[in-house]
Amino acid sequence: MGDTQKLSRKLAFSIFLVIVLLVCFVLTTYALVTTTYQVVNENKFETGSVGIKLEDVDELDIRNWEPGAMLRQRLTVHNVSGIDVYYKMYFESVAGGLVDVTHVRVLEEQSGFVLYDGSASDFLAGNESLGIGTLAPDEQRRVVIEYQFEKDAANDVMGYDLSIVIGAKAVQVRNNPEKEFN
Amino acid sequence: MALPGQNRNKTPQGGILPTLGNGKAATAIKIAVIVLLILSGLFLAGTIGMQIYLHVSEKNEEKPDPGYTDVPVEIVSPSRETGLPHLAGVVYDETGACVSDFGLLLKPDGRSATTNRNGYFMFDNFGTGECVLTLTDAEEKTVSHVRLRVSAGETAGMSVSDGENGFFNIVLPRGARLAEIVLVLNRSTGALSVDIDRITYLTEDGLLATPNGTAKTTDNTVLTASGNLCFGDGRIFLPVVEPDGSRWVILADDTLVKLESGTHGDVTLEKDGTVTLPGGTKLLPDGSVLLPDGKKAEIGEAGTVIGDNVTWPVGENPPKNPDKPDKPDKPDKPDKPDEPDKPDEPDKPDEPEVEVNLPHFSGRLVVGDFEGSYRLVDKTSGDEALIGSDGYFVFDNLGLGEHTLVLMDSAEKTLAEVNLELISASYKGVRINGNAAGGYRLRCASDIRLTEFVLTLDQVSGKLLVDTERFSYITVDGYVQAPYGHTNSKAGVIVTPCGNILLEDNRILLPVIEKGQRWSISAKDKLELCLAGACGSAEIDETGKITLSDGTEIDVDGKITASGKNPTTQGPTGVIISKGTVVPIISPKPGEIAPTPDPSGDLKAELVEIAEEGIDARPFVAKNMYPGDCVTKYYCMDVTPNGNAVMRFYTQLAEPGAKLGEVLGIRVFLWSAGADGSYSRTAVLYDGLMRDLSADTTLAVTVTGEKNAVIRYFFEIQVYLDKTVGNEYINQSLTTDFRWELSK
Repeated sequence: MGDTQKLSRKLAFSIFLVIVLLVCFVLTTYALVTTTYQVVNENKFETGSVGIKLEDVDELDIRNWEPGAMLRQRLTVHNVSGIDVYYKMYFESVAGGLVDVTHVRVLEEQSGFVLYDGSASDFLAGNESLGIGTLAPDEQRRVVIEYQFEKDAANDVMGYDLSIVIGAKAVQVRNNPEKEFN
Repeated sequence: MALPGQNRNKTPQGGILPTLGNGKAATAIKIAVIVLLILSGLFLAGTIGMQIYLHVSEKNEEKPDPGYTDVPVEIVSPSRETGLPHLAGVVYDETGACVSDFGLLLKPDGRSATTNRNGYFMFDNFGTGECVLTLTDAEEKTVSHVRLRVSAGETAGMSVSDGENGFFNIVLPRGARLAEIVLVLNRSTGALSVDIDRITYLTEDGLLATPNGTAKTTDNTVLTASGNLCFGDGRIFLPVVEPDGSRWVILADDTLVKLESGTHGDVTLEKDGTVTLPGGTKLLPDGSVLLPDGKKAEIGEAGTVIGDNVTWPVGENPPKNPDKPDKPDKPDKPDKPDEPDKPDEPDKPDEPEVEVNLPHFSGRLVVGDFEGSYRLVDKTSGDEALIGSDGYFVFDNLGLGEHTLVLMDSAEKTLAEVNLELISASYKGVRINGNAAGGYRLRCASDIRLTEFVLTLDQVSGKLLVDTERFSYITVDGYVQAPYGHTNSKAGVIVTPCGNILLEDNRILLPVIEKGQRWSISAKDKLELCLAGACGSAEIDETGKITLSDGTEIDVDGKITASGKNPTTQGPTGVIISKGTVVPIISPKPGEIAPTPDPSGDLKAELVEIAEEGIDARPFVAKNMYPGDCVTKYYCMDVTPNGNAVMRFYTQLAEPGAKLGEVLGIRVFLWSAGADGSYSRTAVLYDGLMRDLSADTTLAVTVTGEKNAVIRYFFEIQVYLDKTVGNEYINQSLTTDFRWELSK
């Protein structure tokens, strides 16, 4: 009889404990869900690109080039980006004994817009007087580079050479009213 | 008599069971029972907890509505009346393919029809009231169903809406003989729906109204989009050809008969089902039209008008027939004899006659900094609109028809363009969707005075994109539909989200100021400058600032200051200004029923939740961003704090180490309503790199509301790239989740 009462008490206590645990569990579960969320997935942000290509560049043949003579080299500037760009052209590198006696003029063939007019040695990327043209998306424009052998060049430059690498760079028009290239 | 606990262990077979309270075995049993109880309890509690969670979150998760059930659908309302109109249509699937050889069962009538190879079906004398069309496959298994509520109204046109309880409400004008609908079966979800943008009806007077315009069958024979051939004498030849070549025809008295080959009036029915019209044009059994010269005619999207050796789409003008010589000019009318002089009337003020071609078209361009030197040019008319403050632009009398709007810079360079087709619609309001040219088709009811759209720029495609869900319009009778609600000019002065100001006298003041004078559209729809002084019911000073009759001021920057209140703006909702108060244009969606407060105070009522309604849950996508770009999007959030709660907004990057995360910035503004209901930016929740925006770095906002009170907030999210961002960030992308968190 005593054992049975003990057992009953223990059972009652156990059941009470279980109920308390259940209540606690319900409350914690409820507390967990009082924070709710709203989510918008897969928001995507992509940057565009600016690209320019020099295509169909004529070969420059300086054989038989003599003081007072002009050589013309044509090439195509191609805006391969999806927006309007400003572009400018320059020599990536220029070397040779003829550099100092060569005058360079760069102009857009159709419009005649002059991108550069000066000595070959100064036609470099850092030159702040380089002209800036604009190109629409996917626009191709023919450009002519005129190489003028100075008339008064001394005969001692004959036999010298001229080595150049033409470059161009472009930058977006959008949000760029200052035509900032850097 | 055995005492409790005694001899209970004896089985009838005399076997022994462990006795409770008897040694180790009893203890083991006890523990096992307790463990079992605890496990059961835990399972039960977990289930209860999950149920609560699911109950809370069910509103937060978009569940695809299957739209159908295999359980037979009962019609609750018995208000069904057969008779006119006849109902015809076609069934397509979501890819646009015809759903052929499927059955359509009409309940409660019990009638059925089968779709032909073009997806066509027809119920003669369909009538009005509520019904269900059940779609069954070739094995007669139910595929889906759609609920229709057809009624004949006093309206001039037909309207279809996706109404409450899953019913599509079709309201026909009185005198409608035939209604044509397009049913769309989504095979992946099983949903069957009515395409509410492709509705056609034919009246007893012979007027065929389509989404693209109208045509009179009394002038020309007209082939509808579904393939019904409508004659001026009232006959309708259906595209249903029997194997013997006979065709089903609705006669002028609305009886359905089958005509066999032979001559029927001025029409000849060939043995193969071909219908030959008086001019020699033939309607072939497959639905195509053969002109007398043997050429196949082009079929219009909304129907085809068949003339003499020529066809043209419904809604368009007939093409000029090169074979026909131009009509000679009419001889001048003989001069009328002079009438006797009338007594002089007082002079009326000169009013130049301006041909008004509604609707005006305004909006806002939201991507990039286009103010000043950029403009939109309508290639069709040559008209142009400068992009003004906050991207605002307006075209006076853009008019119906096809337009190509081109965004140009000051150097005449084309940045992007968009093709717009503005067409007249027979139903109310404005609807917009894509067109075949990759642009947009705007169907405008004839009473639309001004439309207002938000354009964004897609650099890759070189297109301007129209936000098809956030637009506004003003009708000739002063009704205003804004993105989050509607109102009318009787409620007060209305400022639309783009800043157009509709006065009580129907004059529209524009947010365009030139030399201190403000442009406006008069009540007669003429564009004119308002000089300083009285302009309609408002006063305008020499700077362009407006003072309304209730004393509220709207300055040149669009700031609205009601008497004695802080300045606000119209925000993304637009506002109504009346009697010194500024309230947002927010109203329930059609068919939406305001939630009933739960008085029982159960668990749900105590929980915090973010309501699904009202949220624009579309992802924020911005492509081809360049240094200096800033793209803005608004999200609307309904919150039920039930007391105090804390709200946070933050992001979770899919790839925390993404390169673009180093430079991509985000600004988050909270827009909330003031005491007078007007919305304004009330907090900057964050401004910095997107990758650094987390639950810890964002500004948490305490929101307070009474039990069950729903509070609406707008989140203005600006994503930007600084001008100094360099080349190493070109062609980079970043994907992130936006999270709104609300906790007690």
